[in-house]
Amino acid sequence: MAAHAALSQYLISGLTTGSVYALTALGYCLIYNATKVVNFAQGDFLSLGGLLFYSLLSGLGLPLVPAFVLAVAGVALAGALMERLCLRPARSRDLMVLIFITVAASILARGLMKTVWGKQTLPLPSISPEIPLRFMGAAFTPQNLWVLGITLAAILGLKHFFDRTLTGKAMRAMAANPRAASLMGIDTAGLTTLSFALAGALGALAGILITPITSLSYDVGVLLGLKGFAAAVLGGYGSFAGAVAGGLILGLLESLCAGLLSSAYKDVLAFLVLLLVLFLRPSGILGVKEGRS
Amino acid sequence: MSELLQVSGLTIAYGGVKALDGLTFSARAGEITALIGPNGAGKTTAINCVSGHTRPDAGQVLFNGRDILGLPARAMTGLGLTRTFQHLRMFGRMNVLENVMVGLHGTARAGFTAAMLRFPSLRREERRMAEKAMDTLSFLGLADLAGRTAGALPYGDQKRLALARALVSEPRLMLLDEPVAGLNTAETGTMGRLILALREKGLALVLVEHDMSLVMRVSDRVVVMCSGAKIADGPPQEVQRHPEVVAAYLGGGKEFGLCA
Amino acid sequence: MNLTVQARRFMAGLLPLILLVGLTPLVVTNAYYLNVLNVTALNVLVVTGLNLLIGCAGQISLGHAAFFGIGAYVSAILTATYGVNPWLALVAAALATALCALAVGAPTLRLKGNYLVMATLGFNIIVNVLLIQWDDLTGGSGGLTGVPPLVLFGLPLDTDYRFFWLAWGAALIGLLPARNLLHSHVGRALRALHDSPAAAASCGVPIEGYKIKVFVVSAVYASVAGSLYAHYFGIVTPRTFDIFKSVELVTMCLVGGIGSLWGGLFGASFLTPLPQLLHVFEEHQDIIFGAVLLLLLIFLPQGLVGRLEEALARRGIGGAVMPGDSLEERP
Repeated sequence: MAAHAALSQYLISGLTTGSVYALTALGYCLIYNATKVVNFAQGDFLSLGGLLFYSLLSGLGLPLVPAFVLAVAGVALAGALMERLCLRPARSRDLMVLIFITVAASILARGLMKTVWGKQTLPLPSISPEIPLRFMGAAFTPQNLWVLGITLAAILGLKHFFDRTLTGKAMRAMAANPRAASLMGIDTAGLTTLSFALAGALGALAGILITPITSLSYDVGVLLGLKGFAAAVLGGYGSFAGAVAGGLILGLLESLCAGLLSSAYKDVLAFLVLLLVLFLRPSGILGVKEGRS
Repeated sequence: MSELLQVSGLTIAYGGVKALDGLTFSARAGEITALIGPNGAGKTTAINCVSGHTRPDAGQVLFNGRDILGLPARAMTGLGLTRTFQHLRMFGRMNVLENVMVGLHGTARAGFTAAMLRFPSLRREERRMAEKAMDTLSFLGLADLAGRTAGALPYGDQKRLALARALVSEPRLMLLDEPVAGLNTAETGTMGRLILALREKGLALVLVEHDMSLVMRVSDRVVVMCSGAKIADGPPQEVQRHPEVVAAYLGGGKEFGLCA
Repeated sequence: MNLTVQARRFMAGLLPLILLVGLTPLVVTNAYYLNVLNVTALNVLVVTGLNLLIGCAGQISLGHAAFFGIGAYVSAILTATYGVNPWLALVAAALATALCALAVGAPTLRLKGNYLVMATLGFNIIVNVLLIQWDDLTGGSGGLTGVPPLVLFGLPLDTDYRFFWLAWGAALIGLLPARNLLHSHVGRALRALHDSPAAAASCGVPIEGYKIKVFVVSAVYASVAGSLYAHYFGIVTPRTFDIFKSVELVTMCLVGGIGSLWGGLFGASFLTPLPQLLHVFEEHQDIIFGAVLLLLLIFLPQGLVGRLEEALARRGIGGAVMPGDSLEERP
């Protein structure tokens, strides 16, 4: 049953990275729906989340739960500040300029993180002790379960927020038609800031969850962020269900590719998928179909 | 005189709502055909279908006897059919002359390489286009503004510039979408005279307009639309007396009411 | 203002520049500074092409480092490994790059929206990984060495001083076709396109075709610069052509002024030496670079030269090659 075990192994590691891509993709969606801006700093939210969590745990010696909450809140604040200080005061409403403001913010953020935390790799502990577990012949650790569980909780929380709360519904209204939403008395400026804060929080979650498995450094979020972006495009840019589906599919594809074909080309896969989706079905698997020009 | 444009049975629905419902009308050379009706009657949609910007679900558009439905918008100017837009859509950061020269794009023969290497053929063509554009600007009284940035012009001048851009390629049919909307009385008068001058040149004009006094003064034929369908069609005086039209206009003032 | 006046004004701007470039090697003899200037010239060439794309088609490419890299690697492989004549290799590289650009651009430029950014970003990463992994051909992450210098009229361009003339000659000559295109019916059509696609279509502009062509042309600019780069340094490494290089190239366009050729020239000349200057600050280089960029984009989105051109235009001395304020459609 070696093949069977290997398959469940791929499944577990695929779903784990897939969850992180899904969280990242959700962050892109939130900001895109609020502003139509592609936020190139999304990956830096991941790095910052991991780094803050590390410092709160190891530096300040806080217990796990407060460190976790504070790290997530800290990145949410960073997201909100980014919107308030960089995008809100921008003189141009041109999307290209706004997108490149996020690129510049990303460069600046990486520079700051490099200065504060240094270039070296930092040891971020897992959420609970590393007890090897076995399931269907596959080996994994409690961290895999934490990733899956917290991602699921975050997705359900978001779903509740958008379906059941007034703020969430207002945010959906704003995504559908900002002008109309604004005329209806919805505080679009406040909601935009909130979107960035939420995107920051999701990024922080992804960062805290994945960096014990990968590694933690100031630029760990770059590649993860870009892959999350590919996942968002795969699912249909702007679609929440698509972001989750795209993230999980991408994670599974990657782990299968690494296991069955070649791990050297594993990092290309996400972007090959990105190109294929753009060429064949640019609206993504779950996105709203956009017309050809 | 034969019909230059024959539109029949145009139908288009957006999610169950019929924006056009079997619309049929025609336009002749040397005549002004006005499309009127309350907001949402489908006038602009009708024009968009003729100009290739919108694809109707059903119907036929014959231009000079040829079926042009399904041709892309960019093919129309070559056939001799041009249009203006309700919301101007000027090329705001180009100057006035350049805006009009874009209107001649369909007539350019030189290609991409010729343009990059500035072949003599391209220079000749550029000169021809600039002269042609200047002629059109003079005709519309805009020659003095040739070097000005289009986006910075007063609204009234921009409206005339939009006309120049559509006119410069010497079309046989022009679709005008609300050419006097937003203009003051004097500017409306000027625009009315220009439209009549175009008719004198033998152009067929289709005019979508809310300004009833202009429509009644210049039109040869008026097509009244309501909810995507035609409710009346004829010379202005007849249409004005048409009971359904009177009802639609709730007394026939300038303001539109709801459909009957 | 008529068109020949614009053309004359452009030449009037170009002449002092030629003079400046011509006099530079008399003053600057330090090999290090000449090297920075040479790299600047190559960046100017790429940015000129990129500006055509951004300014004309209103689309951003985050894949120009990949086109730059394909040019460099095809030239390097053909000459170093297969002994092909460098000039022939340069043409072959340009053709190969054009085909790649067509493959990436044709499907995505037909779509509404900014799909090109996404596609070119993915493309750049794929190319970069291929350059690293396909080591039989590319030499892997260590790169490919032994690329011979270009030879012009029997003279090998193997010193910083000699290459200076070729690099800046190419950069300045490269401005001309770009300028010609901007001021032809094609350039007007492309500018019209991003003000209002609907109105441009009504004027008979073949929208998709032009966008794809201008994208291919801009990729070829990058490819030629890449070939020159390979022969100048004699070595090509994958790191030179990663996604951050693409970001840097677009940044040069934005800092100078979107779609303005002078702006691109300035942006490349300003930003290429900047990291060298910031080297003094070592660790804080990224912070300063990011902060400068951020402030410029927030408060001076039309770019430094774009702002100047606007001011001149307002005083009637005008003639922005292409003002680059807002690309949104006017209401």
